[in-house]
This record gives sequence, C-alpha cells and structure tokens, in this order.
Amino acid sequence: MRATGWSLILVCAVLSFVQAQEKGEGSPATAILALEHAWSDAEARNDNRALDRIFDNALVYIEDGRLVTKGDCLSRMRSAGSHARQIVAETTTVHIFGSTAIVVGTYREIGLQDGKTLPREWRFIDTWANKNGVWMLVAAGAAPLSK
Amino acid sequence: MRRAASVAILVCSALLLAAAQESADSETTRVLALEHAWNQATERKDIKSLDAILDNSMVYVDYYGILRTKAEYLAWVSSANLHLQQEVTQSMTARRFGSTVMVTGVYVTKGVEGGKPYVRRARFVDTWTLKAGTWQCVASQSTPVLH
Repeated sequence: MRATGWSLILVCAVLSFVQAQEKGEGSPATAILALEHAWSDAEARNDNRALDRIFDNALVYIEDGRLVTKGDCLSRMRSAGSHARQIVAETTTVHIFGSTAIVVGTYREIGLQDGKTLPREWRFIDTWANKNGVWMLVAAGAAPLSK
Repeated sequence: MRRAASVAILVCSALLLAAAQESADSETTRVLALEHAWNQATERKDIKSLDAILDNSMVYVDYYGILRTKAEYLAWVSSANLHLQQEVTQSMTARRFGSTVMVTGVYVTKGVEGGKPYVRRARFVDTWTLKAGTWQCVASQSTPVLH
C-alpha cells in the first residue's frame, strides 16, 4: 500500500514537472532541472509512462558504450523489475543555447550484481531540445569516472 | 583572414569525405563535414581552426570522464604531452532537431600521451547549434566502447 502511495506521488510529481514546462512556467534551466529529476525518479521506479513523455522518439542514448534507442531504453526498464538501479545526482549544470539545453553533471549509480551492490560514478552530458514549447531529451551519454 | 582560410580549406576537404554519408539535409552534411574538420584540426594541433569550430561555452567530457571547458580542451590538444597520431571516425550519424544537430558515432584514436602509447575506441555524442548562420559544437561526450 505504501509502495502504491509512493508510486502515485512520484507519478504525479513527474506529470506536474512535465505539465509545468508545457505551460512555460519558470526559466528554461529550472524546467530542465525538474525534468532531470523527474527522469531519475521515473527510472528508479521503472515508470515507463513518465519516461515516454520525457524522451524524444528520436532519442540517442549511450549506455556503457552501446548506442540504444528510446525503445531499447524503455524495454530495459520494463525488464529491470525489482533490480532497478538507484541513481543519485551529485552535481548538475545547465547551459542554454536558444532551443537547445545541455546538462552536464555527475551521478552515482548503485546497481546490483551477483547479489552485491555495485556503486559506480559517471560524468554525463544530456541534450534537450525545445520542440513546440516542450523540452524533450534528444541525447544522453555518460562516461565512467576514472579513479 | 588566415584563420578563416584555414577553416574553409578544412571544411571543403571534409565536405568531400562527408559526401559519402550525405543525407537529404544539407545542414547535417555541413555538420558532418565540421566533424571531419575537427578531427583533422586535432591531429594537426590546429588551434585556430578548433577555436572556430567549437563554441566558447563548449563542454567536453572525455573518454575518462574528465570535464573540460573549451580553453582547457584547446590547452590539452596543444599540450606537448599529447601526440595524436590518428583519429578515425566510424559510423557517424547526424540528426537534426531545428537549430540543433546531434552527431553520434564511434572513433578510434591512436597516439602517445605522457610518453605512453594508447589506442582508444569510444562512442561519442556531439551537439551542434546554429548561431548566426554558423554551426558550432556546444557539447561533446565520449564513452569507452568495451564490448
């Protein structure tokens, strides 16, 4: 029951972020940061519906050196089930270039491998494009941080 | 004048290379040419051409997850520690979203850094924006291809 409640709260939060940007509320950087948070929340909970609204249909996503499409991404989330990874954003900076926004930052990923937690740190660049007043994620990639 | 001529020569020669990958969109072809010009300029340590190709606010995340500004990137390329022998781009694809073009691909680079030879294979995403009629790279991110 608690899990269902949390899920509902998160889905509502994600939807409100998306709706807020559709109405043009706040600065572009604020809208982008909200979407980044919504993406992390949705991914941690395998919320494909929310991700479908955040990801552009032509999304290019580089994951562990592999190029994956939006469809690949969503199907991985679906199959991740209870083994979903936890993403903790650490630093994030937004650069706006007209209808393009670049987000640079680092995040810590806590995944499960052979029953053990596996923390990894990444540096990422996400690219958002404003399409008819709506910011959509068009590209994302991350490089593992060398120790 | 010399700088403009240098970039023009690089872009013209790169356009010939990009012609092989020409799509219906001439702007994406132009950006692909600039990608080739970037590689050539990097190999030659041609800082003037790189300065023209890269936006002043560019963010660059390298193979090791190191974040560099444009000034830091140019300093790294021109460093005596780095001897880039060859940079070959494979399977490059460009997608246009209005005044934004995303280029994805795989490159192999060979050289010597800090006295040690290296060969790196990485998948990259570059983001280009159209500013006053000129395409400039605003973000570049590479991820090791390990598979």
